[in-house]
Amino acid sequence: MTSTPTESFVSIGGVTVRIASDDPRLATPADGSLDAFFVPPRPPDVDIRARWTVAIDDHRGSVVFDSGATWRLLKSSDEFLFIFQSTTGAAAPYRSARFNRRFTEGDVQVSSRHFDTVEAASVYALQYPLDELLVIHQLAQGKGVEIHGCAVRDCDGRVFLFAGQSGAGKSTLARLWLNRPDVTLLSDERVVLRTDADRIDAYGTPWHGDARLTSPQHGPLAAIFFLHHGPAHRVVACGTPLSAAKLFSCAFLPFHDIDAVDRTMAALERVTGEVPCRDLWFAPDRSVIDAIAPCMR
Amino acid sequence: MDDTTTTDKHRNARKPYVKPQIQEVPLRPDEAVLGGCKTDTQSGAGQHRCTNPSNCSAATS
Repeated sequence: MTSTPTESFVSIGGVTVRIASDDPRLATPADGSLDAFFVPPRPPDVDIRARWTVAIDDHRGSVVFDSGATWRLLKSSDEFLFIFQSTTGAAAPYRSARFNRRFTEGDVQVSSRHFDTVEAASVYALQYPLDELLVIHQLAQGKGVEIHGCAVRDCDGRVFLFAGQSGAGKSTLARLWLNRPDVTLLSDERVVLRTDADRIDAYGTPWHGDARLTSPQHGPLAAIFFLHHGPAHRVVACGTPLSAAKLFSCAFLPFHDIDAVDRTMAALERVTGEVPCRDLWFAPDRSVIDAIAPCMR
Repeated sequence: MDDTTTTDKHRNARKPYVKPQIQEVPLRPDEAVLGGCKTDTQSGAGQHRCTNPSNCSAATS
């Protein structure tokens, strides 16, 4: 007897991934956390097959990057292989993800030794950080870049990005925007910028920060603010070269691939050349929204 | 054509010299590389469900 494969389509930052599996739990997270990002069937950018395995094969290729945490990346002549292992368990990996060189086709294997294959409610094949790694590598093909930042979308659909590293105030600022009818919060942690069209678009993502804010919405990028905590609100224009450097410090890119880094740098150069960039020092109170309102008109 | 005059005009049109300044932009490698889920001690994106299974017992996530 042959089971009917389940397929799902998830779209993050305009990157559509088709996940097919004989086990529906591998194709869709059961907790609904990604529901807003699942889309009707459409031509995918990445086609993935997910399945169970008894033992993960982690010996194909040489290591080109080790995160020092839960994953490492191996490369062979014609493919990349992500290996994931627990930071609390023993050394055996619990998941692998093989992709072709353009990250358009993949094969995800989940170890049946690590999950209860009968009782487990969810063993989603693209569980974080694989989903984010995949999007980053897809964007690095010349499509755009993912930024550490929060973002809001105004009534006209324009998106304003507030970029900053951990502790800069992304979630703090995002909470100050809450319950305002004039904006939609797209994310308090990660924002995707697409640079492969005439217009630069900014997308919300499912990867949230302390404020737990996510949205799949997107719109044209209207301005960038670099966040800093300060005793008072202050907005200062930032020149293009320095803005590009600051945006780079908030960007996620595949450091193992010099061509991908080049493409990402070109994307950052385009973004900071076309979109107004400013430094924003702010104290954590709602009056900061009035302070930046003139820059959002 | 008066080359000297043209050169003088170009010289006069130059911007005044401004000493270059070095501005450092801090990088945080631990943030730039996706590690795991956000915790009290580790930066990263939050997730509704974070998998970090042990292989000494079956995880029922």
